[in-house]
Amino acid sequence: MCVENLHLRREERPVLQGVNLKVASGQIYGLLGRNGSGKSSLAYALMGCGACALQEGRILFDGHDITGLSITERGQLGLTLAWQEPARFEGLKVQDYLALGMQEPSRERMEEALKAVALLPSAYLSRPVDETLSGGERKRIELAAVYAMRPSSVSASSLPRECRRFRRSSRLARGRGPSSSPTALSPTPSRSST
Amino acid sequence: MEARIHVGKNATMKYSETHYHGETGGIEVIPKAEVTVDEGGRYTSEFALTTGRVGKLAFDYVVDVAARGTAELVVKAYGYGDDAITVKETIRLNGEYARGLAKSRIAVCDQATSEVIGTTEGNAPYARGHVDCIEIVRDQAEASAVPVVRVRDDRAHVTHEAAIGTVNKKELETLMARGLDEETAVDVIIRGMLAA
Repeated sequence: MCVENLHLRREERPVLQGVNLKVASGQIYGLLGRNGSGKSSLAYALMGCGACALQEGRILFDGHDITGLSITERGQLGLTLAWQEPARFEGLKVQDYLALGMQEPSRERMEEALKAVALLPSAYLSRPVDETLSGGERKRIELAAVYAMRPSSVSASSLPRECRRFRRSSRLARGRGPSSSPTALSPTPSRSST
Repeated sequence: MEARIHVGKNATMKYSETHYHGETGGIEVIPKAEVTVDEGGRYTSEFALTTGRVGKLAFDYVVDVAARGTAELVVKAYGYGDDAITVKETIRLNGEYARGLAKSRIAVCDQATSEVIGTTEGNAPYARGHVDCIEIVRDQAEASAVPVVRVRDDRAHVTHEAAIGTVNKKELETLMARGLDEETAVDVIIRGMLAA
């Protein structure tokens, strides 16, 4: 992935001004910065979502300009995003949530994904992805959904503890063919700001 | 349906009503009930009209709950075309430690309309009640919610929450980031809400 001269604005306020970034295939990058410096905004911009408007610049993925593509189109190309505070879904079970991003949903893969984030499949597959989950459980399930999707590129916003497991999961995913060697970008507040 | 229901002392009754309609509309569903729950009794009602056109729905339940009794009313409906949905849920908590929940989950799209009037009264010491309404609106549909909370004893406690609007943007973007198109993502969110 390649970001060229990216400018983002939120209402009248500039959020990013001329960001350039190259993310190599199969690598995991940590992005450090103070609170409010635009780390998460960059992650959202890569996915094509969030509250910021793109003013200038472009995003290339696998050599193709994806700047004008919708979130869905980027998702179908193999990009995805794990939110800092993942959304809750009333009435949607974990197994259904995991299956949404999988091309060929299988229980075996779902169980593997939950184990990769240290959650017991028998205890979580039938639970709803709603307010009954703790913040930590919800984040782990978000990472399990990313793992199950086997994307080409992942942006994971502020997931300090879970990221360590995610790194291991990414390593696990490697060696299973090109489609399962994800690139990961993890924006994390620097120590001075936490 | 027009019903009068009496749940006796410490008795439990659960009533589920699920409608499956076709796509042509024109059907009228008018469920009406007066329910009395005696001391320690428990009454649960779940009404669902989420498959096919609603047509006209006029749901109207009134429940009187005695001491330590419990009443729970849940209504789920999915309207489209020119469907018209009206939901009136009234729970009167008349006895000490009575409990009540009036919950509604409504989705409307096209030119459908919905109006939810949830009333909970705390009329006795330590009564606890809650009104919980979520309505999702799409296209040119229109939805309104009127939560009424009435308390006649300073030891009673009644709360309400109502959320009306389009599909939550963050939920939508999360599903689209998994590769779902917008229409499918909206459907997943609405179906989930109505299944809960």
